[in-house]
Amino acid sequence: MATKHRWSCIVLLLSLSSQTYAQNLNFSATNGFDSNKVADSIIVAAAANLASVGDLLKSAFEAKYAKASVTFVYGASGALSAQIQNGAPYQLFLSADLEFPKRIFDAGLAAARPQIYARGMLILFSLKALEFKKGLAVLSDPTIKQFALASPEIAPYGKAGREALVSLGLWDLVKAKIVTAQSISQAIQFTIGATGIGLINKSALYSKNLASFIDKEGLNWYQVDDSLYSPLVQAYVVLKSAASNQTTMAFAGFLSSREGKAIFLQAGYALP
Amino acid sequence: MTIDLLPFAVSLQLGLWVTVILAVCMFPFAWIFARSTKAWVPWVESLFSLSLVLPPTVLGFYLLLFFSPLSPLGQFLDNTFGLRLVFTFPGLVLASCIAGMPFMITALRNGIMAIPEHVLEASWTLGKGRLETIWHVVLPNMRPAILAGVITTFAHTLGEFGVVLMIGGSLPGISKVVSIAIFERVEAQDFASAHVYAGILLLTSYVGVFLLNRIQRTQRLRDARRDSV
Repeated sequence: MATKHRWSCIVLLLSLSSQTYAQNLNFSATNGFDSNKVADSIIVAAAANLASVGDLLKSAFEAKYAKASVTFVYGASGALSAQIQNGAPYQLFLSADLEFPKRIFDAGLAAARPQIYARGMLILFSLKALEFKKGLAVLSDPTIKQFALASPEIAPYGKAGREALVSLGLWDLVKAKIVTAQSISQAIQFTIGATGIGLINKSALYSKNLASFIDKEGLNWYQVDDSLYSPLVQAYVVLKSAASNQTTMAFAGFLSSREGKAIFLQAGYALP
Repeated sequence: MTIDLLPFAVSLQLGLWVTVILAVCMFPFAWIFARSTKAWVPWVESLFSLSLVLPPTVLGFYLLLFFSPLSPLGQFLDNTFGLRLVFTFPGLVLASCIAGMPFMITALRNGIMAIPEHVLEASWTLGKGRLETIWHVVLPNMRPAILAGVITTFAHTLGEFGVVLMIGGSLPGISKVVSIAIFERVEAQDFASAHVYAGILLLTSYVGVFLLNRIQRTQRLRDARRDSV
């Protein structure tokens, strides 16, 4: 009995130590940064659609590296990239697409190639409960007079919405009902304030304003099949001035770490 | 909901700097525009209202290009004086001055034009010099116009968004003003915080404008009483 007990103790100890060892390994693979060197204040320029996830990323990162401090600055990706090209003091740029980071890289302003950190998901959202069995075809229903869509010309989610409607052969049927917004967040405002229904980003459901709808899938929202539109990839670049800054590199690494990925998943994004 | 009071402090400082700088610097121009009969005056005067025509974000974009460390002017300022006008508070003040200029100059010019010529002539015939006349006769007589200029410039600067967003970059404590804080909360679909920011901004602005108007009103009433005696 006593020997049995001793053996189980040894097994338990071994398994515990191997677990911590595995965790350490994992840790150094994703985030091998000395927490004493990750101690700067950095400014992250981020696309406006990240405004709710930014707070989560910031607090999780700062909990991990107590000496570091991250400030998020939000704007339209185009405006932020114009600022970066004119000397803005940002260390990292989280864009809503891949195009702007690419241009910054091509202009020689980035420390490394753009990295994709998340993929946006398109949903059809309705304030009133709706029968979503027909999918997007519900938009051709005569009871729906108007719906909001971000401009397909300038907003990635608007482009994705148009692609989905075109590939289902619905575009010509419903295009007269579209209220065009200038950005995805304006599309959300139109949806909530005026049209009652719109094609918006899934991550909006995780913002404070729409949080009550998260568990109403099939009633108030329906996730558009992501094979109907080209992927809404969002990429970041580390800017040249921050190439040797440990805090910036640690934060960039954090975005694709297990913890960072979990935050994006939790906020309604898909992983790249 | 987290309400950060720092943007209010930045907005207030920005508003005060811009209003004071414009009130002082625009007065000589307003004086010339109001009184000079030279042929070039309307040409130059029109230049001063151009910033009203451009949408603020567009104006901000051009100021960004103009002051950028990559532009000749930006490079010169950076190399000679170590002065950066993009993403800094002084740059924000300058950009807001350019955006707010038309409000101040119009108010001041109208105020100067409303002063009857004979009042100025009376002062000069009594042996007062130009500066003394301006200080003791012109300024007291155009108090309502100065007040109008101060209120509209200050209010416009508080509410200014596009220029500030473009050239300031929303840096906390430096260029993140209230209007930008509201914008960011709206973008985050956090309307509750946006409402609180907007509410505080509206309320404090209302109280400020109300107080200025009341000072003006009591003074006007006192002047009227004195004149009727």
